[in-house]
Amino acid sequence: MPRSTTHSMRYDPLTDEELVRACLQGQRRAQRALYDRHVQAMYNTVIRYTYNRHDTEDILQQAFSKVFRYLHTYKSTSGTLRTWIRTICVRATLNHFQRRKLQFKPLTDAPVLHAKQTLPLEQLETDYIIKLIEQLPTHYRIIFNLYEIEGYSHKEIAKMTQMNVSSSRVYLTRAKQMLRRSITAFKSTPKDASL
Amino acid sequence: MKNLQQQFDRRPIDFDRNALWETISLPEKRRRPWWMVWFLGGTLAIFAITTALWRTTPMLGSWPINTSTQQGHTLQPIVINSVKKPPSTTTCSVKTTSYKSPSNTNVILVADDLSTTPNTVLLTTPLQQITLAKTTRLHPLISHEQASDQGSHEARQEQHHVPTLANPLRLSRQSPGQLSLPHAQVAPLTTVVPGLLRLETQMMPPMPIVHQSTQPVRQLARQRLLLGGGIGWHHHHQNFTAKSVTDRKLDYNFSAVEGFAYALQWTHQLNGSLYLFAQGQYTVLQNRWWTTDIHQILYVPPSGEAVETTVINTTYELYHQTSVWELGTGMGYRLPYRKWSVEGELALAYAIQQQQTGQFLNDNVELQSIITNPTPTRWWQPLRLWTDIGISRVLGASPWSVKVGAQLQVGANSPLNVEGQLAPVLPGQLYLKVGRQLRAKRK
Repeated sequence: MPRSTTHSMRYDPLTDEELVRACLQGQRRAQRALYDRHVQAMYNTVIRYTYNRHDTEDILQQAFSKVFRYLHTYKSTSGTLRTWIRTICVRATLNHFQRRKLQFKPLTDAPVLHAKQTLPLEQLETDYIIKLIEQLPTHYRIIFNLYEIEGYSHKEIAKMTQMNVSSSRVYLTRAKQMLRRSITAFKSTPKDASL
Repeated sequence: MKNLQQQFDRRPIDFDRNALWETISLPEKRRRPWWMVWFLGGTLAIFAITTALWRTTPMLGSWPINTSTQQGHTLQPIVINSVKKPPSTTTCSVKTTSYKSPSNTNVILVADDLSTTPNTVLLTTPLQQITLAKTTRLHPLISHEQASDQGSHEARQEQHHVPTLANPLRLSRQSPGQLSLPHAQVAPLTTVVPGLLRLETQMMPPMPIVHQSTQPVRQLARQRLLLGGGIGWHHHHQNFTAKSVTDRKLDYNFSAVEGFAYALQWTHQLNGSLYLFAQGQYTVLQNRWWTTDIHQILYVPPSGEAVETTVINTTYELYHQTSVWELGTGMGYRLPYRKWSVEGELALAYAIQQQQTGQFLNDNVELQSIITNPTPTRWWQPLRLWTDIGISRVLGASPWSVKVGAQLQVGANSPLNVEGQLAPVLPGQLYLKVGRQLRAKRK
């Protein structure tokens, strides 16, 4: 185990709030402890959007830099620290796609069908789901992740992706349709999903 | 889908955490020393300014002496020689002479208290009337009971030499009988000193109070201990007019006193924006004394227009230092406004005077040191009521936050007893503050 990680272990019993306070005092080991506590979840979050290790690490670098830079603005009353960090990571991911000239085209004329039908994702193993999401086109994957996994509303998604709410619903509907077809296909084929 | 998200979060990953950690920039590590340097630098600057700038050990020669004359319409030649640059020495001589010249020319030697060269006012025709229109004096609010005894004795001695001046005034209005012998008598300015020292002991005027009391809402702590220091000044403006049976008129203007203060404040947040606080502070004031006399002499010749001559003498400076401990308690109200915090406070404080030291010119125009231990003559004299309004902002994050702000304070203390008449004192202060939050408990 790396030495810095070993030294940061004494911060493990601390709550997020206590850890934040220690970080704000400029304690490097507390910052490392906070990073170790949340980097795994954030890595898994970001890679669900990018499916690229290099891009994921770039995004995480920017995101955690922002986390430590704006840590003093974190309010424990508005949510957990992990949610706050995840928000920063998601926004950093969207910024990453915007720099890549990814734009969401308005899809207002498309029919919204079966938008509220739930997918049987929880019946599948995590790696299978990861593989299924990876097969989605980038636009659909982003909207699906934002709505179904992160829990954003269509209004919030529309604001984050600079499109209208109905387009967000259409993207989600189509993503679900694709996933439903993929799930059906996966059930009939040997499962060897690995990332 | 929260369960799904948690499944994803727990999914093992395979990447170099340490390599990613090394690429993350940590601005806090750079910002903290900057704030510490800022705070320490500010504290040192305050200390340097307040101790060096106001360390006014006798600088009699360095203080500018302002003398100006205003001359009205005249039919007669008036010559006014104003030699006002004092020597940079503490040994000063005073020449106060008034005589009638053989050539029927009245010569008024206006005392130049720091210069051996007198100012001469030549009036080429006999004076028929001399009117003291206005005498303005600036002197400090602080007086000394012990010194007043000594000063009174010296003042009595002075009265033997200058019988027309039983009071600290430099000029006195002449009775009609005295006006038959046209002259004006000018007392040495040193007589002012015993006059000043006759003032009864009063507690210190309200001092600049520096305290730290606010945090943005997001950083509100129920208990806080704040340490502050600051520079301040307060300007006392008091017009005090007294008319005695002799119809002499005294006009006093009490003016600025500079100083610095260090304060420790404990704050207890009640609910919302209301808070209680207790505050102790140590304040040092160093002030100069100076006297400005405005002589307006009206001359009406037997035939002709009146001649009015004004001679303004700003004369000498003394050194005085006093310090006071003050314990107060009060209530404050904090109103957050964006990232700022506007606060108003009302408090009652009890002042504990420390030894006062100073230097003044005695009747022999020699520099004399005084050390007094003032004691209040009434139980209520040390009390002081003050209210203030301020705006502050917290920079940085708790507990490394630094509070900066400005505050305007108005206070009221026991009135001064000036020559038997109580004079109200309403000082105002405007000061900057810088502080640190030493301990904080989040709700």
